[in-house]
Amino acid sequence: MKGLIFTEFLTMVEQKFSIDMVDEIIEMSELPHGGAYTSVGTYSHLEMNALVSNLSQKTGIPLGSLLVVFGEYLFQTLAKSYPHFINGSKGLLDFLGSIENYIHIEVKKLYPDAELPKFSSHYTDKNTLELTYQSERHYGDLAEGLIIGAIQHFKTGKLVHKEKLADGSVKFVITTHG
Amino acid sequence: MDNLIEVESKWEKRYFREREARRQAEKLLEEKSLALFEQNERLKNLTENLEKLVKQRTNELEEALENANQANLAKRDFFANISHELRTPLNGIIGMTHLLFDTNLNNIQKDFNHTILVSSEILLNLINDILDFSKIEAGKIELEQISFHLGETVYEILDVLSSKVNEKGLELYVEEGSGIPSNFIGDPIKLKQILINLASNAIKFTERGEVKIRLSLVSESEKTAEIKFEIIDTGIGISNEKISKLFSPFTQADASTNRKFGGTGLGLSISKKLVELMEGEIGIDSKPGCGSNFWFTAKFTKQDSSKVSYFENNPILINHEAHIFEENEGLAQTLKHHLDRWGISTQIHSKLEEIGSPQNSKNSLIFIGGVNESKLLETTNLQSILSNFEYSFFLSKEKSSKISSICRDLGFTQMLFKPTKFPYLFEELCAALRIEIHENQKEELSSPLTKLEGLENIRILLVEDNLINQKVGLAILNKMGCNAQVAGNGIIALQKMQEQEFDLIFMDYQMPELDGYETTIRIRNGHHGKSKPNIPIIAMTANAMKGDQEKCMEAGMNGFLSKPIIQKELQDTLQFWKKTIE
Repeated sequence: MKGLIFTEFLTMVEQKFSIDMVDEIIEMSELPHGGAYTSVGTYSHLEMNALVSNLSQKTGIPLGSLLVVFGEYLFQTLAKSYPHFINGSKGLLDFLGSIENYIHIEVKKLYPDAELPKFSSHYTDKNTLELTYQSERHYGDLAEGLIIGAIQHFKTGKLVHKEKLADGSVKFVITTHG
Repeated sequence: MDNLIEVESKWEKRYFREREARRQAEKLLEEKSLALFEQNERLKNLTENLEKLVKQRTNELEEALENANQANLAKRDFFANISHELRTPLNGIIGMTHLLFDTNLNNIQKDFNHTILVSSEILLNLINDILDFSKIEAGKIELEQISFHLGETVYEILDVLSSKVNEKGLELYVEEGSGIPSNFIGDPIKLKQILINLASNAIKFTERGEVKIRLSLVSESEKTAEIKFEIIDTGIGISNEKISKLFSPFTQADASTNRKFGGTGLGLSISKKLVELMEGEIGIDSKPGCGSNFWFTAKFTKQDSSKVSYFENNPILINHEAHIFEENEGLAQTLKHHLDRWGISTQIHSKLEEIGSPQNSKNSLIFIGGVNESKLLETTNLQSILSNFEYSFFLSKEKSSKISSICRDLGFTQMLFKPTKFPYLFEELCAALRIEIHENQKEELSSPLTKLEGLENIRILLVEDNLINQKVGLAILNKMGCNAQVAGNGIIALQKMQEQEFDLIFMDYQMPELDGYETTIRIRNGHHGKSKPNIPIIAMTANAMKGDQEKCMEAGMNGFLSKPIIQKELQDTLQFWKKTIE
């Protein structure tokens, strides 16, 4: 998992809770680097699992909800850092549909070792996109947060359906109807 | 206090965490930099290797080019030498044939001798062609621009091809279109070369029937005329796919062709290049089994001349009638065409027996051809038919004495050998019918050797090592009335010059002991003996490569004759220098 996810997560914890909360979940997680992350580094997703579950335990907020919130937050910071990925698209659905074949390819150019989730997409009609998230890491909730972040950014559309499939992947239906 | 320590240790932990993160980032940066550096080094090495490889390849190519150039030089030298070796014996043949004309020959012997001469000249031209091909390959061939007579040029090739067509029992004739000018400036040797090439091919691939050379006028302007030449045969023909391959060098219609018919496959590609130089086109119309038409066009500059044209009408034999029986219809039509032009009213008969009597037996002619000897003997009333005519001709493919005596016994007045040069028949007819032709209408077949006035006083030294060439040269010079002596090489020549005075030297270029080049340099450097120091020296060489002439002039020679020695040129040279000597 890219270091950027860790640094952004800890920044969010610091903003939404407190810097002490950051210290506490790092202590609790007994991390190999003592919780020192650089955005250009790469770390095990198990470290993120520990951090998120300890935050959930400390705050009493369900794990899933935390990840959705983090996803929304992450989208905003990514949009600020890499505006050209978003500005180049023709709208929400076009943007979401381009994750697999455009954004991920660009990411690979910068970080050849990045392990990225798979987003398959298809239009059920011209205003409705079905997006399926598939990853060993099972961060479907983070993906949901990112989708919501995108909806907020484009100020259009809504997430109408979320379904966990038998193989562990998660299907989202996003529409810009009405 | 505890609180303070606790806060401090908290910040210290955060500080260590941040420092650790920075170290990780720096380490990553270092790793990436190293990877980049190594990548760069690899690229640099690759570029250097590529440059090395390119340099190596360039060297190899330069070496290959050098080798190819040397091979080319060797080839050129080989051609120069082989041309010399081939020309020397030819020189003997041509020279002796010329001399034979001046002995007492009967008409048949003259005809045979003429064939030898023309064939030798063709062989000489062929040798030139081989040289030409190497020049063509190098893009260095040039056309001559000399005046020539189209009819003469075309009919001359019948002599060359006669034995081939007669051997195969084919008919060969020329069909002339109307309105074709006769006198041109161009390259008749190259034109003949193309015609012989195409016609020989046609004969080669035709088993029965005929080969016809058709001439027609394509277009004419004030200064030039474009002529179309067609060689039409009744041979095996060629399929479309094979036609496209024909004009590339060393290619024939297919590999089996070579085994069956021989040939180098050079002819058509030389012809194509020559035609292109004559601003013409070359092509083939053919179908397997239906014969072929090899044609080409050529553009020549027109020339005015008072010489009689074979292509012009000359109806001075009006009041005469002719009857023709000839198996080959095209040939019969061609003969009729010529006779008509001379004013003779002509009729073609399809059956020998049906030829009746002429309206007026005086001034009547009969031509019979395409009949073998048994058919001649079988025709019962032939003798009486012939007796009705004042003059009777038999067109014969054979030249044997047997057929001659049969013809004589049957009462033919004259045999005409095929392929017949009909335009030349005009003179014979006039002579036979005792009609005076105007002097300027006489066609000079070959210029007789004339004694030149005042040549007996010119003392000539012929420096020549080859015995045949010595003999030919001396004979021609003596015939012209010159006082000539021979020296076998340069050293003998210099000795002779010490002993007596000469007025002109013909100097062979390549000789053993002392060659023409060295000998000339010595003469010009004071070894002129009793002769004048500026005695004219004319080079003679069979090695007619470019650059030889310049070399001769450099050595101090005054003129240049290419071997084999042509009487006319020798005569012109002597006449030119006679004035200077006097």
